[in-house]
Amino acid sequence: MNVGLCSSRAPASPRSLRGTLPMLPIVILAVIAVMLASMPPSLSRNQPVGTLKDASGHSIALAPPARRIVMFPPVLWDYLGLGADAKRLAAVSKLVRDSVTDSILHATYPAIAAVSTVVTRGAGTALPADAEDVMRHDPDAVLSWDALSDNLTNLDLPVVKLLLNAKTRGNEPHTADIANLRVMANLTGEQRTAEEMVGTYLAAVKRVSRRADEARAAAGRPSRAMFLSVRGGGQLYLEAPPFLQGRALQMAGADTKDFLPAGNFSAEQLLIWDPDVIFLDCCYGNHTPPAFFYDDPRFAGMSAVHNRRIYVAPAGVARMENMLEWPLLVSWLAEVLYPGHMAHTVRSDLARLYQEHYGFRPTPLELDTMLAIAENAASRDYALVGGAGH
Amino acid sequence: MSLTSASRTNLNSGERLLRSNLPIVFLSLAMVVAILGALTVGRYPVPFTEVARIVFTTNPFNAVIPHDDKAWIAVAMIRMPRVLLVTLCGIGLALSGAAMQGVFRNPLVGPEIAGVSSGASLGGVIAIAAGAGSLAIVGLSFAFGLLALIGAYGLAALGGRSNTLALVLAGFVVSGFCTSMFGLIQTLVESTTKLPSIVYWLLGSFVGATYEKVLLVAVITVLAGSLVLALRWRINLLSLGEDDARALGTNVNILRWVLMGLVSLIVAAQVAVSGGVGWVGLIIPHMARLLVGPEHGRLLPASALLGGIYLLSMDTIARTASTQEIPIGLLTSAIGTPIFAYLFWRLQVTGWARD
Repeated sequence: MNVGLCSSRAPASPRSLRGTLPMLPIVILAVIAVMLASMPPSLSRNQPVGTLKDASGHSIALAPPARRIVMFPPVLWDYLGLGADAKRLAAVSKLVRDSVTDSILHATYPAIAAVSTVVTRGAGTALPADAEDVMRHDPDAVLSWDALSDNLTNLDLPVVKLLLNAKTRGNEPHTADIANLRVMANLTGEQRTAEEMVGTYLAAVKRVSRRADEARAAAGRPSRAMFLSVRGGGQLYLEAPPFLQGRALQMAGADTKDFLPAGNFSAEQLLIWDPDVIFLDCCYGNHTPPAFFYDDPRFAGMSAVHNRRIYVAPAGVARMENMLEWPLLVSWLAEVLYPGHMAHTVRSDLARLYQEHYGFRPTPLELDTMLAIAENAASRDYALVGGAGH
Repeated sequence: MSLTSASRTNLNSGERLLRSNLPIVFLSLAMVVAILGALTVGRYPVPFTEVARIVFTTNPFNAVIPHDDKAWIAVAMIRMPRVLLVTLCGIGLALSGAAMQGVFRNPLVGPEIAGVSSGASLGGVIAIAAGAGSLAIVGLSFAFGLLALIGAYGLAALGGRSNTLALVLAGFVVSGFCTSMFGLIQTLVESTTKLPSIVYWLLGSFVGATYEKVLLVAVITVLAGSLVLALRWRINLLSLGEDDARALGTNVNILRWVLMGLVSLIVAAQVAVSGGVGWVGLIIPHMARLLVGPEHGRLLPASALLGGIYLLSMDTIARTASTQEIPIGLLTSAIGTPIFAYLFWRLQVTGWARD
């Protein structure tokens, strides 16, 4: 490699002006950066006109009700369930907007489609990105998951932190959701509605838990059941506690103690476990119908395949994960696990839930879609469960 | 010598000085323009005149900005630290890449050769998986980057060899191990927020740039970068070949280890503040070589300036081009690889030298 030592343009001596001149711009820039970083500008303290405590216990300078909310995490269903005005949403992440516009209730909330979207890291995430974009919407409250909002709080933006309910605790699977709901209620002035929702949720959990216990006792032995999803390349993923689907299955009276831990597992492991009943997640991973297992010769020897007891879980409007729908997921699971030992009310309960909380009365066809009637047509007793009252 | 001819001689020296550094002068001006341009562009609408007023007429040092002065916040608190951080990282990566290509006499070498980038990535992934805040991510990432370097050095030394091949191979091993580890972590973390956080951090982004991060990178760039620049003449000797360099009095092994150490500091700092940003250290030195030739006295500063301009341009596109923040590592790869293909073809035709 010719470095020019023998060329007509000999390099300058290190100590000559010509030798040091090329370094100057870089050194100047770096020194300015060091000076600025050592003596950075800072923001004056925002004098609170009112204060609100977020779910992580921090106080935010805000006088409720908030009038321009930027929402990153997918908590819109809880927000709408409070009866809060969609017009107060200044911007939402695409993930949030799609959760309504792609759902069966999109026509009930047409205003959501018109809400601006805010920039995130990745199209389908709740990760805040450009703080300027948040500022552009001039929010008086920015809803974000607790661990993801450093770049916004550093700029004294009014970040209201919410807790992520990734794991359940004891018998209160929605502890974080309840805390988040109360924060949103304080933000919007809908405290009474929030307490009604919490009361409804707690009563529903108690009722469905009792019904499931009775059905299991009547059946004689608990069914061995698992909740799984099929991901890219046919990878099987077990959705065991502490995740919500696994917790729902436990509360529904299934025997899940052998099916741990949550995570990827092989087809061979599935053959070893050989559950009585398999529930397929409606929404995480690839959408997989029961036929995936019924038609695959690898699984022909399994009890669940032989007895046609594989079911796609209902999608509801929010994957049946939020506070209002989750007790109905438990109820649905129990009715499928013990079909002869429970009254089949999930269809009418679902219809009533949407009417009461979202002002939406689903048609029979819409209920069929929510309850995955078509996908589960080949599975045993599903007409009894999902089609009751049809 | 008469006064007139003496003046003429001085003028000629000045002219010669300017002419020999013309590319550097142009690149410096281009960098200033790029910085001012980046400060002007952003999602929060700030008129150009307001940007100019904030940048040129207000004293930012220890300034206390009113919390409702959104223009000031956008320019001084959001854009300025990001622009400075990106520029310094670009300078550091390109400088490091040029130094490494000189040390190894290999045009396919980048600054990530000792596995530092993967080590730093592993540290960042561990911090995110543990739910740590941004400062902890930076700290752990930097620490793991240095650990990876020590690991590579140690592995190379264990074999009783101190040559570059041993270090390169050790770097591969360390890099492979760290990559598998952060791959494993990705399969274990909670998938709603932590997994996307990890994925997008690994793809590279300067979101969340703060003055603390600028301080870390600036100090390291000043210290390590200055030492690399100070050794640029010796890199010239290295590029003659090991035997010739030794004959000219250079301690080749020590020089090589010192340069790799300095480069690793710079790379570790960059990954710590932004995640993985590739291809800058690989392609920018080649572009600089086309401008100023292979002599490292000019090549290193030119690479540094060009690297700053390039990465700043990429970041400006990443934060403004679409409704989502584009990971800058994807941009530098998508744009860098065709450029590298062209440069490599051209180098095959013309060779390394430019007389």
